[in-house]
Amino acid sequence: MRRVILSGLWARRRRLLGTSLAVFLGTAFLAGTLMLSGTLRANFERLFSDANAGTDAVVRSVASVETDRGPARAPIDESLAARIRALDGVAAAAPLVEGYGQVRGRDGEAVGGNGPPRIAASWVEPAALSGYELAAGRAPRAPGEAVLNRGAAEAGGLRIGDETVVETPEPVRVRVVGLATFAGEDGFGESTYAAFTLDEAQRLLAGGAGRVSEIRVAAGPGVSQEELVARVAAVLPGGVEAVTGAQAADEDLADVTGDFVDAFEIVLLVFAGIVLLVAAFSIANTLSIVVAQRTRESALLRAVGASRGQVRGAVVAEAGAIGLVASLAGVAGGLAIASALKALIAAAGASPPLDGLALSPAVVAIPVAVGVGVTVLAGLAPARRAARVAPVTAMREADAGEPAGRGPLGAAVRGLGALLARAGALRGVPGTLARANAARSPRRALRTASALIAGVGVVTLITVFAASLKTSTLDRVEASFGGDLAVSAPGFGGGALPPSLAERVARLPEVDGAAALGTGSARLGGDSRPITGADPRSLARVLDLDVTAGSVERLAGEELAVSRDLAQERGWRVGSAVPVAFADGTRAELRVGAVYGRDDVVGDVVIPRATSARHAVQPLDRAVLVTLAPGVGEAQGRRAVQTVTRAMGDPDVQTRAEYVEAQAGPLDVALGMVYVLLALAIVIALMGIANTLSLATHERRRELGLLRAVGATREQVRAMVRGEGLVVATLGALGGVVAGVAAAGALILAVGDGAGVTTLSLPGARLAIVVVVGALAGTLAAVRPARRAARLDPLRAIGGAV
Amino acid sequence: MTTTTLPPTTAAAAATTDAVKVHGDGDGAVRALDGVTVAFDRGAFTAIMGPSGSGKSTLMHCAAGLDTLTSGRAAIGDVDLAALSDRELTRLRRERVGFVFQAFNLLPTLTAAENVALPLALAGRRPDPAWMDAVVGALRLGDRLDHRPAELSGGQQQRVAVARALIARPQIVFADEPTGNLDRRTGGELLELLASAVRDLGQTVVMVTHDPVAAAHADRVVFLADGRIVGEVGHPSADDVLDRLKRLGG
Repeated sequence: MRRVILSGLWARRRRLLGTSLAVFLGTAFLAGTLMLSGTLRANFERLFSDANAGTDAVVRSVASVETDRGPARAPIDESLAARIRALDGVAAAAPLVEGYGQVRGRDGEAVGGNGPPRIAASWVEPAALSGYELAAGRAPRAPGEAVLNRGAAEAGGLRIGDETVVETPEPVRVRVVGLATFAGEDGFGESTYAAFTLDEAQRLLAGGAGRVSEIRVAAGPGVSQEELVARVAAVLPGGVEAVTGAQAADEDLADVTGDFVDAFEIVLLVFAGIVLLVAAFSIANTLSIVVAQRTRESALLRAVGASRGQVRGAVVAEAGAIGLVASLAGVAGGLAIASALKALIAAAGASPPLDGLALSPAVVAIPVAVGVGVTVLAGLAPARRAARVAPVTAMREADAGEPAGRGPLGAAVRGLGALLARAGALRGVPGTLARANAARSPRRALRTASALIAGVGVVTLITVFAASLKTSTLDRVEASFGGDLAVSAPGFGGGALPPSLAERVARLPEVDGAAALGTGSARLGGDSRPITGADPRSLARVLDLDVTAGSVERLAGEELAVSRDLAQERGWRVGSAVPVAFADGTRAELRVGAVYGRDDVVGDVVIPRATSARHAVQPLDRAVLVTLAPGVGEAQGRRAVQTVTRAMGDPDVQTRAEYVEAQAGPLDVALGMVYVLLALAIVIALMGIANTLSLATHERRRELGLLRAVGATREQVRAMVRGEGLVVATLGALGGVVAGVAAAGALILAVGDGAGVTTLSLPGARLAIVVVVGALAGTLAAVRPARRAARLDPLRAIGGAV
Repeated sequence: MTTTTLPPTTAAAAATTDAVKVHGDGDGAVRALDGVTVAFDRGAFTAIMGPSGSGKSTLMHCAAGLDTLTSGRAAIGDVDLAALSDRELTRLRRERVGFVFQAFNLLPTLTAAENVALPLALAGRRPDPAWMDAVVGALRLGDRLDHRPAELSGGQQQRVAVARALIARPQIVFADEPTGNLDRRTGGELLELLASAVRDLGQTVVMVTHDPVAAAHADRVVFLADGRIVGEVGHPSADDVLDRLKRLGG
């Protein structure tokens, strides 16, 4: 049996190439994803172990609040450093202050951002304790002096001696006195780094003198990290802890990978899954046709004594062999995919650390196992069909397919063909024959289209869901935002506005009110959440939060407002007492003063600004919402606000319409990425169509020969095959859109409320484009089979004696 | 011999001159045609006979423009086939040549009427209704026009093929073993129809066959052996043909 399988595979190697290609692309994408996330992990690991290489212990306060960027820790007392330095076995101990700081380049443009952190810190000596080392110039000695990492300086066109601005987020004028490298490189990944004297950093970032973020300690000779931690811990007050350098590095790594890399990996693996799903349909389809073509061969095997199981096993083994070869090739192709994804990520403006490619046994084993598994699974149904062939079939003439498919499916395919003919896409005799051929075996047409249905279905599902999410979000933001202008923090990924901006804008005569949205985190009753710090009265003026109980406007200093969802979840109502732990380590008990319905702009928790600012280590605002004085036009108001913002980092000043639209901006960017990746799935589906058409052409070579003999030109034959491709692809694209819309509807019904999707919005133009592109691509897929069909020698095809 | 002298006169519907066809090359080369000069007269029913491997099908394919000669000339009317591109050959076939093959004559997805009209439809034309009626009537297909090939008997299928061959009023019809898959009675009827197309409609027909009974329907029989013309008979009976064949077979 094995020889039968192997020689069969070899004889049909070209035919099987189409199948292998689908598996190949699927596994290549999977392997590429795994390689890429592995590379990301390896790079972060290297960066963090470099950063902590010289640090044997870290002294810090016990985490009070978890944020989406790792735990927030309250500052500790700087004087601890002297006490630690005096301990036996301590070689060095350096206090460190770290916070947010946006560096401006020579041209005033922001350097970095859009993902990687923008760090402002105190300059640390010795360099081994921070990882940053002077490469040129000197350390900062006085206020207004700063060291930049070399990469940021180069990106901003800054040299030693130049003056520029660092926003922490209040703008600070600095003179660049030195350039630093990190472990010999231009920086810590793509993050930017600006270091001040300890005094200035304390003032700007830590909320005053004597407070530091942490103290880093180096051990003396012969003292292990654990021993050092034990000695240091003995002199620490309550609420302050010491951990080994190794543990600190691991935690930093876990914060980044747990957040960023995992999300990244999950998204890509979902895509790999979709690609493999589409590939599975494509494989099942090709194997079905191959099996159908081999009906006589299977019958012959059965006639000479092969059991059903043997015939079935042969097809499954064949699928397994294809899967193995294609998956192994796919792993190699994964290298190319990983490189392509790197380029795609870079083109999208993100810049995670992605040096080299990390290879491990897992990136080979997983794709191969999955690829073989998927292929074998896809081969099961065709294998069963092959085994059902009766031995007597060996004696009968092979059939080139029904002349006209019956049943509702056949009617649907014929109807679709008629529709396309009416639209002028299928003309003349080639058009008629194309329609007839597509309808010959409606089951095969559907099987061929199934891969495209799956691919287009997923695209549609995502498009419809995203459009619905966007519409719902925009509706709510539009309904709640009653202001005229909005000032938004630049870039995504933790950009910030200085808190003084709102005050200055509010003092403009053209402005009636300005409400700042402060960024922060707090633990409410044991659970950390992002909070918005806002002045209750200004907030109530620009935002209609749909308050259901209490009053946001009259929120007192010891009160907070929560969303209806959170209130329901926790069983809170107006008057409930909520224990709150702030990022600075302090605790307070606040009472619920209001419950509101619209959480799109402010999130689940609003705390009066007076309270939140007092407990923030480094107060940051993410937006300022502005209402204009009566009679002031939008343009005039914008000009006035810009006189203030220009001097403060020049953030975007948006009109109401722009602000509302911008709330969906990240969604549009994400959708763009999704489309690029899903295009791959569609390509696989189209290859399946090309494959089926090639096989059909082979089956019908006598008909093609006859057509040529009685006067069909090559172009007419090509048009016929292309027309059939068009019908099948349109079937797939239309079917996919219908399936996708149905799935999106079901999804929104099931989870819509929780995800904030309240309406089903059908982006008609986009869906029409999906169908048209899918159909046209189907014609494109038919180009090669069509050319082959047209090249057929009419004589050989007729089977005339030569 | 009634084979004409060179160049073929306009009296012939089709002709070959010194036609040579070599299949393969080197040691495996086979001379399927070895210098065949023959002309098929207008309005005549010519049969080409010979044992299998004699080159009779190859001669027909080359004369009809389905295959190309290795050397020599083939012409339909006064058109030299060697001078034509694939596109021109295709147009020539659909306008001036009709074909009837042994099997797989019809497209299974089209009805009988659509199959008949196919050569014209491919040229973007419609059949002349009067001629369509005449052909369909002569071939007794009137009540079968809306059926698909799978719903027709073998004889009916071949009659549809003949109708298709006649529909464009071609200069010449080539038939390759048209009765090969039919029983004797049905085959006889089909040959009678072909003969009447020649007699009543003035059609030129060239038929390849190995069946002496079939060949007896022709006005003239050309015998081929080993790629050469080895003789011919005018207005033969089946016995004449059989006699001749026996002598050839030796």
